[in-house]
Amino acid sequence: MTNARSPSLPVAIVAGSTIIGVSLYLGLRAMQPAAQPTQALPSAPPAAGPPTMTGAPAPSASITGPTNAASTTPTVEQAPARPTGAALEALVQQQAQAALDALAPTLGSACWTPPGPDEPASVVLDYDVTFDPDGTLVMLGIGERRDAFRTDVASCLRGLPRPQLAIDPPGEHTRVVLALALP
Amino acid sequence: MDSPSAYVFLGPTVSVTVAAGNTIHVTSTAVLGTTNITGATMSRLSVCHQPAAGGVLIDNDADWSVVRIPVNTSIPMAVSQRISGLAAGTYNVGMCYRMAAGQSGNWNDNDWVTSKVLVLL
Repeated sequence: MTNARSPSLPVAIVAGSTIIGVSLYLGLRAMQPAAQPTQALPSAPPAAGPPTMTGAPAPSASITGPTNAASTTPTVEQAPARPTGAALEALVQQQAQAALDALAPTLGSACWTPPGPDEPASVVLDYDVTFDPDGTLVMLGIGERRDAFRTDVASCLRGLPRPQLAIDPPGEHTRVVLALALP
Repeated sequence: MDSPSAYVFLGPTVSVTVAAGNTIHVTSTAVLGTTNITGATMSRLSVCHQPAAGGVLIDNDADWSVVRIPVNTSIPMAVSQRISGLAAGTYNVGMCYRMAAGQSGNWNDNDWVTSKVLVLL
């Protein structure tokens, strides 16, 4: 994030100062004799960087320029905000859990066997999954829980091809933990 | 099971898909023990990776240790490894071992195995 933003800041500043400089130049040219514009040009460089950061008074003289220019710029519609952080995880969790629930009967028929006398009647396994920005499953770990587990069932599930869990592209690597209840 | 000359995964593995240039960092912990009067020995304990399609388990950098414990002992054992230079693809990763013939039965007081995997892009 920081690295991505760093190069754009000076570019934006330089671009902004150029607009300011041109606006100021054109504005002064329209108002003043032709001999005067050269006085306006030196004011552009100070508006580019340090003065803005330090609050030096130089840029204030050119505010009229960019404000007028901005007012003629058409409004750009923004795309709907994409969830991030906890909201994104919650969304991915919901979609991936629904996909896993849909596969539960198939997984159960492939790996669940009638329990022995000392084995639990049902188990819950943890599917620790990570999706890439496109929504492709790139990591999978299948964990058991201490309160009720069947090692043979877990080993069978790990031996199956990765489940196809279809979700919307999250836009960034996202890890969630899903629950698979069997039978 | 005994496996004197080839690695075998110990406990669950994690399925990881990597792109060329990615690095995998694996940390695995297992509580292993014995009640055997002569103790138990493992000739190699490490982290391994294997192409998802199958094949030989690979101990990256041959980063293994010998483990030997006395009777009535159960202790946590941890191994970690940084795996780089992998071709793009999907791999199984986890704790692995080699064991001399007759030794696997001596490891008879074991608990859970946990593996944590990070992919460094």
